[in-house]
Amino acid sequence: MSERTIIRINHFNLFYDQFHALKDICLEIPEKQVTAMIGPSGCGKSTLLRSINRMNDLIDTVRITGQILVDDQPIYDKGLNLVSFRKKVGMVFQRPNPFPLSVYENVAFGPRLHMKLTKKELHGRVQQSLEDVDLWSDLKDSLDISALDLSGEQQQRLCIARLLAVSPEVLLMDEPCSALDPNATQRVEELIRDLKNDYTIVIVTHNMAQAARVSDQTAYFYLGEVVEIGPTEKIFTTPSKKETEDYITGRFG
Amino acid sequence: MSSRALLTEKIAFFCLLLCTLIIVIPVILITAVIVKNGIAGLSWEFLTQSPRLGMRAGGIFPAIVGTVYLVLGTMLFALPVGILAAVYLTEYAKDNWLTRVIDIAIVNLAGVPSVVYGLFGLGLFVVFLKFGASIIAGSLTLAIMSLPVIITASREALNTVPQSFREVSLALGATRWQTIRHVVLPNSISGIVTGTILALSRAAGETAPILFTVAAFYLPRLPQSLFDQCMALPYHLYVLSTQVPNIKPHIQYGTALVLVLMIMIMNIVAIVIRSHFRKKKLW
Ligand SMILES: Nc1ncnc2c1ncn2[C@@H]1O[C@H](COP(=O)(O)OP(=O)(O)OP(=O)(O)O)[C@@H](O)[C@H]1O
Ligand SMILES: [Mg+2]
Repeated sequence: MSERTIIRINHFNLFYDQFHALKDICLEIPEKQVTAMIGPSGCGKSTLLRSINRMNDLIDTVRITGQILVDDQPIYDKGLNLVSFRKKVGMVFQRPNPFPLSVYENVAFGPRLHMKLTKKELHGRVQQSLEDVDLWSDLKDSLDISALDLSGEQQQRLCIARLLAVSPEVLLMDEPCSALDPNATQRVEELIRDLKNDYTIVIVTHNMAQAARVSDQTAYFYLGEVVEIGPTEKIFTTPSKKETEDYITGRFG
Repeated sequence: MSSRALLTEKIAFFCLLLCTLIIVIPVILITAVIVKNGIAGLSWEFLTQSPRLGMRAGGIFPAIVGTVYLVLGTMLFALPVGILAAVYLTEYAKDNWLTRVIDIAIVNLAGVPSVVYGLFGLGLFVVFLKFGASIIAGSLTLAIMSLPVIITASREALNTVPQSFREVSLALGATRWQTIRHVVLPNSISGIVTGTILALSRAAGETAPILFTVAAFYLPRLPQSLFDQCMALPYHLYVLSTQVPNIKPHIQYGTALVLVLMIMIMNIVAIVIRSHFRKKKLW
């Protein structure tokens, strides 16, 4: 297991207008591991996740202080090339959101934007991405069907494949299983464990068991602050803070 | 449910039905009257020939052609400007005072009476820019009148595209423009087109904006250039109804019928486009 830190969050604050949504967050996220973010609704997990790939830029009222570094590059610096940076940090959403295009076109979307590929190379890339999420064998004969005709699980896998096709380093997942049934959830969790061999994963989840199953490191958030962060095993067995224990044992949240 | 509640329910239902019928009845009556009186006037000759004998005989071909030109001209000007403005407002504009002023302007423009647009077009295009009464002046006037509706409809269409589509596209490293071009527009174009067609069909039937800017009282020759005047159905209908004594009613009603049919066809096209895309239920 590598221990290199890929994402470093330094005294990061975020305001929606006057509302102080993230308070002095300091976090380190190690490469090729799964970091889980847990905490009650509204504590800022999604906000932090969206800060890591600068999606909050789309919201006019957001102000930030502090810095986030990805690969030692300060991502809120003016000189940053936003386009190539965002490619490096992909995002998976709560509800699967494939484009209303064919399976193939969904995966080919990113490569078509960035890479001058021949037809064959593009096809290879699509195949590789679909193989990485275990969809290839199911869908190789139906690449032309609309992605919207897939099951929820397949759609979510497709959304992951769509990201993998642009070779990101980090995958941000905001409650990626919350729209899936328990069996599908289990299979997607397996996928996440596989993916961590090649990618750094940050996952937000409301499902304690899921955090315990998939993550190496867990951060507990409360009201915009990191209450506790540590190895998942420790957080779930011997948390050092009382609040964390209360939340995990379900007395709260 | 008590019998009393049941009765209330029935009465309420009846009232609602009645109100709905009140909306439908005038539409049916108008259509019926126009069709009944106008169908006799419709003939190949009527559709393809120029008016004769002081418009008491012959056809309305120049007016049909004129209206088609005006609709196309309006579309040419209003569609690109409308779409680009809507894209700017939904995708780029920050929520600041300028945007709010623009919003208010659009809402108010939509409420300006059409004769005011006509006078504005006269002042700006015909006189100041020296286009004269011409197809270009009339189209521009109609375009300005249609813009608020087109912009509003396009913004609504753009807003139906899920925000997460934009975010995914950006997260895949697309630029904002690539996102608009490859994700936002393809997923909203049906709404934009539908709204535009409805706005154009409205423009096709307007008299006041073309009165001073393009419409010719009587011009049997077809227009040769953008700077020519032309006849147009709504104005021709107005002329037939008020300026030509002893005219046979089937000519007036026939003209009205042709105008209504043109507008109806445009609306049907809009509905077909919309239901076609709805069936494909995008997300
Ligand atoms: N665009 C916004 N404008 C203003 N406030 C916002 C905005 N988005 C989120 N907030 C507020 O910021 C706080 C954190 O929201 P966030 O969505 O990050 O919480 P979360 O931890 O992801 O919650 P959940 O578990 O429900 O997804 C909430 O109080 C929310 O109301
Ligand atoms: Mg959230």
